[in-house]
Amino acid sequence: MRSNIRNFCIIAHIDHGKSTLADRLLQVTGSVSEREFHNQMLDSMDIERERGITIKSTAVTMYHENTEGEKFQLNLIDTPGHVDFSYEVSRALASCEGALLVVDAAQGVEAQTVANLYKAMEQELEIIPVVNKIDLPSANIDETLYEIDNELGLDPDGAMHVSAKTGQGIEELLEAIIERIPPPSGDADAPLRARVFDSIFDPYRGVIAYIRVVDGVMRSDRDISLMAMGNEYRVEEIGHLGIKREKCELLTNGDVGYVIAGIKSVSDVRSGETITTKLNPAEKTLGGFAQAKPVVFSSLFPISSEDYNDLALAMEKLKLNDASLIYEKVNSVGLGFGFRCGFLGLLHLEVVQERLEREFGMSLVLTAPTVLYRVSLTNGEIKYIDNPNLYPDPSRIELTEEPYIKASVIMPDKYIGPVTTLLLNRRGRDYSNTYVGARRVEIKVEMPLAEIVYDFYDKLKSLTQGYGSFDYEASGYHPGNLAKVDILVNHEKVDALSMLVHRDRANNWAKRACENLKEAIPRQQFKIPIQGTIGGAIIARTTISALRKDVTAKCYGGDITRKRKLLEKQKAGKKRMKMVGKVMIPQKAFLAVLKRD
Amino acid sequence: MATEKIGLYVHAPFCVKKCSYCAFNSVEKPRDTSGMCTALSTEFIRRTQQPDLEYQTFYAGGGTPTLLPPEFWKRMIDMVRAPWLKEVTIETNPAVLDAIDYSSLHIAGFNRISVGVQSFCDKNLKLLGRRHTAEEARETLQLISRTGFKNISLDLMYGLPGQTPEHQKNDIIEALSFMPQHISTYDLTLEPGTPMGNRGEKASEDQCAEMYHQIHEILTANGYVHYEVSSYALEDKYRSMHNSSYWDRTSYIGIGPSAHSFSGTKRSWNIPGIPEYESALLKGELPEDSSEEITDENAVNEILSIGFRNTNGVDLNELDKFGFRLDPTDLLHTGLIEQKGDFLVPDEKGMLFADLLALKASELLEKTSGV
Repeated sequence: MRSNIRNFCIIAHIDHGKSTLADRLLQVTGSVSEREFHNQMLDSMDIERERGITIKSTAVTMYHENTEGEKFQLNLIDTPGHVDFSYEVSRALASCEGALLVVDAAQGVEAQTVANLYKAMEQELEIIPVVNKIDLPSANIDETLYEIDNELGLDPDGAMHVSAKTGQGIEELLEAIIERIPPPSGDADAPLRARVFDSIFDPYRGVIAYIRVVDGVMRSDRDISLMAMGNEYRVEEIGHLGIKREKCELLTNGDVGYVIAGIKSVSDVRSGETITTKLNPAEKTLGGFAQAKPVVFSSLFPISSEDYNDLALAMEKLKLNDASLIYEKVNSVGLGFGFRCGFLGLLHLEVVQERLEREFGMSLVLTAPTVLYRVSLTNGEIKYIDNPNLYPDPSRIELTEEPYIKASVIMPDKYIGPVTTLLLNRRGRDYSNTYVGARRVEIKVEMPLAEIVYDFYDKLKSLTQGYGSFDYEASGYHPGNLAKVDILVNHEKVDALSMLVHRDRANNWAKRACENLKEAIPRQQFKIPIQGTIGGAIIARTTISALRKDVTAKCYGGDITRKRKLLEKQKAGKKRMKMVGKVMIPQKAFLAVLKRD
Repeated sequence: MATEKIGLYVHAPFCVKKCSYCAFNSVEKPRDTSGMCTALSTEFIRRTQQPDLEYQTFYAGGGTPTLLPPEFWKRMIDMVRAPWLKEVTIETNPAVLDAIDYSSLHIAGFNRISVGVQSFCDKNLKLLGRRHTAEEARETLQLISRTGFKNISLDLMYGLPGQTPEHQKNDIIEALSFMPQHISTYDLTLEPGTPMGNRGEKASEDQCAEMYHQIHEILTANGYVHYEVSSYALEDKYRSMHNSSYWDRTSYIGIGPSAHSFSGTKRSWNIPGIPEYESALLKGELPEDSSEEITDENAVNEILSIGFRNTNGVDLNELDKFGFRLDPTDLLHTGLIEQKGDFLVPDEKGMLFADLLALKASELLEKTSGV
């Protein structure tokens, strides 16, 4: 038992102040100097900072003396909060003994708070409710405490009141962490078992795995083996995670730190892996290892076909740092070579897209995201289909099933009408609602995952003026009556625009897709018919009328520079369009098919 | 020393009242215009010191250049004093109230006049915010031809909100009845910030295209040469020399607020604000706002931006001079241009798609080696 160590994490809904609280803990414990300090210390990626989200888990070791002058090592494990990364979250939580559950005093309990709380409870963590932002004029502490009691079932008297912004209550919170979170258990004399909770790829050092030592001792220069994957490595360096990496000679049970061992790719040492020594291996793993399964699929194509090799390289590099990303080469009739990719969710998809565009300078076309359908064929075979173009001929299909989710939406009660309509329009069923606070309602509903993969969250946010929160968990496969809608542009089928849609809505869907495409595709010199078809039968059509003229009336002295600049701008814009047959289709059109009103 | 052919533009930035579609630089005419006249002359003298320039054209535009006195224009034209000055144009607004002394302008040295008729329909004139009626335009045209001008250009606008090709036909037929040497027909451009631009009203694209073709039919049947998107000349010799110089990369000097100049390798433009313009000249400076060196790639893009707008077309040899090659095969497939020797020449329909052709062509450009 190492009684002066505390391992904990912070769980919170987005914007409830997780990063600010972490920043303040770092400052109050003197773990970071004034000079080194910047906001969102623990979020290192541009996307994390800009969007205020955490994508990768990380950890930081802080030291703090309690009122009796006893020194404690506090290991904060920072985890993502978003449902897309729930597997990473669960591995990080498994590495802790306690959790700070942060609730914004002005916003109250949100759907993500609840979802993450349940995960923490599954790991039997000691939970300290933290009411944050008590300095805000709009803070409603009593109501927040009521929700902590009623909605979360936690003791409101044990809640800590803080303002991460001003630093108010931080000292008391540190005391509570030391007092209430149990020290790590584990056996120092047992064979080594360390749990990997995340890893990053460093171009100079290879993979740096973040670990929590559960039993035994880890030393540098020893051979280790990864129990799930079965690979062996020699430890090059171990250490603690301060603001920078701090090399050390050994990590013992209860410690949180890093290990560098010549591992080539993060896919070789996934979250949940158990590390042991080669000489004296542990008998059993720590358990809980699973491969994260992709739930949303989309194809990525370079706008310009010549960039395919660059994209292939970029994907490889991205994969070094993102074990959840899976992909394979595909060939589209209209779009050429690209990659069919599986993502943990839509946020993950967006992050990958953004990183490819920003870090690797790629211009991409993304096809409509789809889910993984389960198709039972008449010959008894079962197929999983993630690409509409691979959907079997309907005559061979016995049954198609689609993945469902159990969704929870929490919002002020005045929005219940429009939100209910939204959920039912998205094929929600088993609807129920309950009050979680004086004026706030939680709706629970089961619905197809396919209904939320595009624009659901934006819709919900706008319907509730930003006050609605949403979370979900998978709830298995259920039969769905599906039809594959193809889109023909200028009589040519554009495979990248094909979609699997619920049969009852196929007509409306096709009509809207055609209309949206009509708006998104610029007019050209000839008429362009756009048709939606099911099995060759046309169910919707629109026509983009021919461009009749493209010239300005006057071009005299001062107009020449203006015209040239316009030409240069258009030329650049055309780089973001894709030629399909004779038709130029802009990048945005590939997602425009999904737009709903 | 070799002389260089050059055009001269003088911008008179005053109007009695601004028209509803106009985004040119002009303000309400002050009672006393002598300050502006002095400023324009000063800039003119300062910019035309080089002895090796061969002024071919002089163009008084605006604004409303006839709001500056004929004596001023006479002084300006006299200052050029160039024997090679061939075309001397002034723009006019056919508002009878302005009581313009056309014979003085003719005597001052103008040999061409461009009359901003715009339409022979009072309803349209009102919509455009013009200060004259159709009847005044008729009177003015007759008056001008009596005062000795032998080269008259008539401006029309089309594509106006509510205008149909049938209505527009009346305008073009009436314009023909005056047998002007030159007709410019401008499809209404909605300029942001103008009253009409803000209202965003205009005939449909289909109708505008129809009007364009109708104008072409009628005017070419009556002997006019359609030599540029918006320009028709009764005979080749009546093509606007000054405007053509913008299109064939002849150098030009622009005098006046916001006027543009082009030296062959550099484009520059003047300060737009009138007080700032005048005070720069008083301080002894050139009233230049900014300038831009034209790289070879810029030049080629300019050639393409302009080339498909007129029947001279794009000269492949000229592109080559700037170090670029263009394989015209794909362009010829559009059916909008023909290849005549080294020139890619748009037909009547091709000119209507000049911007599209320019974009396609610029994508087909290849740098030739060694440049």
